[in-house]
Amino acid sequence: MKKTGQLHSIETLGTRDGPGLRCVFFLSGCNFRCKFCQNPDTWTLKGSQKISLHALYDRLLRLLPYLQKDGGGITASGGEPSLQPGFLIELFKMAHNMELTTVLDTNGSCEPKYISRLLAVTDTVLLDVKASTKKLHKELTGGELEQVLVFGRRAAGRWARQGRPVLVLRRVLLPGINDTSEELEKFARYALSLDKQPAVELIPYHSLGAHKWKELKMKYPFAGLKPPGVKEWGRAAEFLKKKGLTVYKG
Amino acid sequence: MPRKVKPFKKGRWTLRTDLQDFIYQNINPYEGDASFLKGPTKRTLALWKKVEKLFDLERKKGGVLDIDTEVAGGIISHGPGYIDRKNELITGLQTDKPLKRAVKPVGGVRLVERACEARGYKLSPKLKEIYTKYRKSHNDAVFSIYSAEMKKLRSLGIITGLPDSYARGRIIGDYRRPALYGLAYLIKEKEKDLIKIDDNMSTMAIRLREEVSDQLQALKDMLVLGKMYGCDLSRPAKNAREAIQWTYLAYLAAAKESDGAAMSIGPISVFFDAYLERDIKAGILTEEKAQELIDDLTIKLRMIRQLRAPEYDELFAGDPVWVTIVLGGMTGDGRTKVTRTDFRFLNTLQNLGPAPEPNLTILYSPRLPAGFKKFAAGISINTSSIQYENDDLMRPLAGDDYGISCCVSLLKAGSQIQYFGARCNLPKALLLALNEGRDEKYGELVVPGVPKLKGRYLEAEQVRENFNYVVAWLAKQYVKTMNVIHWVHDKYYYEAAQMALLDTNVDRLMAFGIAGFSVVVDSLCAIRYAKVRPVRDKKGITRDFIIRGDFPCFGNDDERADNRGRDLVVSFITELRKTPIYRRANPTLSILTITSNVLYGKVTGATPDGRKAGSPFAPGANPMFGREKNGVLASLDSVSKLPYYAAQDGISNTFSIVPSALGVDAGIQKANLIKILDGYFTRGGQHINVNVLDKALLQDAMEHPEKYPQLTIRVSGYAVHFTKLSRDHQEEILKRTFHEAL
Repeated sequence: MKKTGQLHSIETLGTRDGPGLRCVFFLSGCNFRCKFCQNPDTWTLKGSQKISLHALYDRLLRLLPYLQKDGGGITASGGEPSLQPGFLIELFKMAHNMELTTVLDTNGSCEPKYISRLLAVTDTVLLDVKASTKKLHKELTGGELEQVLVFGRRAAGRWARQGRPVLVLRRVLLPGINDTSEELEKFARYALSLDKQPAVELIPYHSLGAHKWKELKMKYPFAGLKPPGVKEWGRAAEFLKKKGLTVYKG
Repeated sequence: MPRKVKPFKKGRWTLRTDLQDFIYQNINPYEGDASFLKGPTKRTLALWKKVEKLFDLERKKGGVLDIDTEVAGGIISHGPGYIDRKNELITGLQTDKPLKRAVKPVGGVRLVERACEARGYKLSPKLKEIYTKYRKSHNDAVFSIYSAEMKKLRSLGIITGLPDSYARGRIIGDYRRPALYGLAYLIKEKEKDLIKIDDNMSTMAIRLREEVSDQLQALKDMLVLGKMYGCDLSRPAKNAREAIQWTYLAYLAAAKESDGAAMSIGPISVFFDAYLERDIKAGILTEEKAQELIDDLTIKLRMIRQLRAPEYDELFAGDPVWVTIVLGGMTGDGRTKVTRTDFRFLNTLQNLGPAPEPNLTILYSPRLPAGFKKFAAGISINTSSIQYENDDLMRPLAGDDYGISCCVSLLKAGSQIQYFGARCNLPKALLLALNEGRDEKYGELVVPGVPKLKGRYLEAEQVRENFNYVVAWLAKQYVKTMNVIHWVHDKYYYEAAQMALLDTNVDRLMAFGIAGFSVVVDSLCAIRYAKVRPVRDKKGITRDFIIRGDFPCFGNDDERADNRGRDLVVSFITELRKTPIYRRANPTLSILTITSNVLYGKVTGATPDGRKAGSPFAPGANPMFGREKNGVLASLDSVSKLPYYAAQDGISNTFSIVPSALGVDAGIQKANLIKILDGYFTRGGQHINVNVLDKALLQDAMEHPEKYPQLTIRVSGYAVHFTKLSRDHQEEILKRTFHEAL
């Protein structure tokens, strides 16, 4: 049982990552190096704070009147939260004891031996599938696609059998890069092949995180990339909808 | 077909003056949604258009349309006045012309003279002579009594913004009484009270007898005021229009007689509703007409004006009068006080567009009907014109019938008043503690006996001891100063019209305040958790502070900081309680700055939290700008933890959020705002201003004010037209934290 974790920051009012009001914990450390990352400051443990479950319990207890309604709760994001599986599982268990829902925002790289224990305490999985071809995924994120797909498959399987966790597939839409018909075709095929069909959240890429790269004295690889317009987003959404998927804007 | 108007349900209120019982017996709780509401009529729009034109002229003339420099203001000094006589449903203006301001030299003749001059007018020599040679004014009297120490504290900006140079306001007459009982009855009751006051003619009895005599004169003047507008106020109102008209004229009498800083109108909505619903049930009024009456009253209340001196504008920006109306709330027996008329008042913000006045205040409880919460949240998001205060926190103290004075201050309707006392500049108190009791700007000795600090760095324990010593010393001076001001105010500038509509033996509160709350909390945290080295000048006075290391700040739900905040509030009120108070008033404390946080900051040197000399404090109990690192709920939670029992004059929190951070669409935004309010008030927060705005919009309004005549924003316990603020105040608002989406 892991009682402490490495925390980057807390955003107490999340209104986007799941139902109700959510307290979002950004855990430090990431094993991917996405070229369009908005939070490169969460990649390493530098500047993170060691935080005890006990301290988070006190904090959540005070926020309960805000969070308990309409399925609100906590969201674990990062960084990659599943890199601290022991702590994360305890955190989610604690939230459930407080009648709060749990949302996991993940890149799907959880170590296999922890997956089922983690899924057992998760109400919603927001799984980032940043690309659907092996090569592009590696190029964009530095990580392997296969583990992501496996994680999604296991989440959907559990969802189908036990009614939880709900799975949402997310994609940050990079115009001309991961919205090609080959990419979208593969993405749709994967989503439809799962035991239960997930909704798809298409998030238009934006460059608001670029200044953080500068602060960290790193070169922002996508300096020239323009965010997708309404048309480009609509085209991708339409493509997926035609395949029978539910799509919404993130 | 009109049916017979059903008489009101009888009860204790029929035997004696008891508005709470009247409401208890005759309330019509409404649990539905807003679908019954009607838009403005053609008449309303035509009248409003005329008033908007006058507002425009006023703006173009620099903020004041006209001043009557010849006649001193009083209940029957001016009038009648009209906007458009044939088309007004509710009548009455403060002078003979709309937006023309009267002078009230009894408050301070030199101040009125300066106020006139600042607007290009000249006070009549006759009035000047009267109030210089023959009649002492409030302002002159106070200064003839002040001790040297009091004057020093005032001029150095340590205890400041006091109602010694403007009228104190804050009293809420029970303006509903003439409508329910008629003035003839109220006069008879006051006459009975007068006979009973004897007490061997003690000083207290003499004073009260004189006051009640003044009240009787004011009631008689109100009768005359009524006649000017063709209303027989001696008898009770017979229908809804009369009830609203009678109540408004009673308020008008007060606003003509006094130019108090804040003059709230109290819990009128639920009262009007009893009449409106009775008339609608009898078939003599339609919903459209009911809304028209509320719209018309609102137009009148938006036109209340007082002549202010330039010093006043610096403290209270945007020309406010605080016609605060309370809506909503619950009764002790678990019913809701929400009525259709609460919806109608909120609907004025749609029918007439947003505006700062009247200051619409919702007494909030998570148990309020869902339909009302939803409607209010929608109006908040669209207009940023509403404030919310915790009914569950205040009801146990005040009962079912109470008003909000000014911004956040609880007053029982009809039986309680407060003596307003502005605020003490706490960051200055801290600097006195660091500088052997010397003022940080001029090096002048203010507080004797403060030990010199040892060591290169500030040491928490030493600072705490010095600070406690300074606070105790200041609290004593503060009470003494207030005792002087209010003794004089009662004597020279007595609010007879308002007091006439209250019980003769009222319960008195004395409302003290603190400014710069979060600056001091953060400074104490910096000294305790980081290393703070003062940079001192030749005289040894702190000029700046060098801070090494991190420290917790108020507004992050961090107990280390929040506990210091609690201690600060409790220790201040505890010190205030140690000095006897004028007329045995009970001391209360507010953490509210209104807009004076800018001025107070301007006169205050650098502080150990890293705030630079001259820069503004955060308003009210708000965390300092940019130091909230954990988002909205953490910030709200820090404020909601402050103990209301120790700050019963109110704890003001101004909250600004961009629409997209509240949720992706209008429906979710409303639902989320309700969740935030439910949570905040469940956690014990007392007050919150809600602004839902993009910063860019405000920036545009600064450059192109003509495009935004009605843009309204909540500042600290009240709302203002953004474009009426000075540049300094506008910039301070832009510095504030606007909570944004992830």
